[in-house]
Amino acid sequence: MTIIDDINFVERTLAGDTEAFSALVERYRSMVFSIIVRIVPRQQDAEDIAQDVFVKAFSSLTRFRGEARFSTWLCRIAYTTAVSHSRRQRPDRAGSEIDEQYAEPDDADGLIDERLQILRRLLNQMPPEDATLVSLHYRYGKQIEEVAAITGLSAANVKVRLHRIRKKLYQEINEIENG
Amino acid sequence: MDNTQYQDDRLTQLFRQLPEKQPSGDFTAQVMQRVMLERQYAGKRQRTLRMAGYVAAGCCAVAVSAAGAYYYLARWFRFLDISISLSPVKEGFANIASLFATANHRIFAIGLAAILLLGADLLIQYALMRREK
Repeated sequence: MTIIDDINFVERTLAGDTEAFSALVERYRSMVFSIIVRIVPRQQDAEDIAQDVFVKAFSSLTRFRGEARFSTWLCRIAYTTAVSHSRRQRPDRAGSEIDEQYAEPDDADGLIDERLQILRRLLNQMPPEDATLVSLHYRYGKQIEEVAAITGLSAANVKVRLHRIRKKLYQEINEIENG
Repeated sequence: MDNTQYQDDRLTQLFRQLPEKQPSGDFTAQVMQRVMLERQYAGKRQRTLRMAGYVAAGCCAVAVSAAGAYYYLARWFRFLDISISLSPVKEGFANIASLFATANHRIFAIGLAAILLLGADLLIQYALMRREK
């Protein structure tokens, strides 16, 4: 249903209905932002990049052929834009300017479930690329081939990395559950 | 259900319970504002590109016509000796002009200019079409 809706919105946007694109922005803003903020942790930078991503998507919408899902295509733009932004940043700045308001305490957002606290902590400790892989697969239900298309890694590589991350995450969470 | 599938399902369940990171409240409005600006700029860019194409094509036509005129003036009034040392610009003109010497017809010059103009225009139209696609 969502896929058909997406195609419908894309077609309407291409026909000149800008409001249809607004619906796509509304639908995918959180997903795009989540991907970017894993790679570019500063809230303001992440928001600026997320805006750039949607503007880029709008400008190149004519090149979207529907071979992949719209969300996968959009995630690919978000991922590559965030990665190239983080590469441009000086290494001494990376990670040193995370907004205080955005630094997440373990009990943020009422995360009283210890498993969720552990999960969030582990995600924050992971290299950005791994956190993105796992988030795309488990949070957004992207298949291995889709994750590979978004990140530019091979499907085999994604599979191996996901296996390794899953094992680690599950081990930690299991330890909590079993006391 | 095998162990991997079980772990996958558990993690999926947990990940979906994690609160999603959100951009600020007016994010969509800001994006749409930029999208509208982008749409305006895209139209302007296209017009500028088209205009630049016409100017380039016009310059080509003028250059070819000037070369043709240069040849005919040189031949009819014999005020230029091509064999003497010429500046690079004049040499360039003389080389193009020598093309007309073989055809020996004004229509050739006009025809070539028209073909170049048409070719440049077609190239520009094709580039614009690819961009719009």
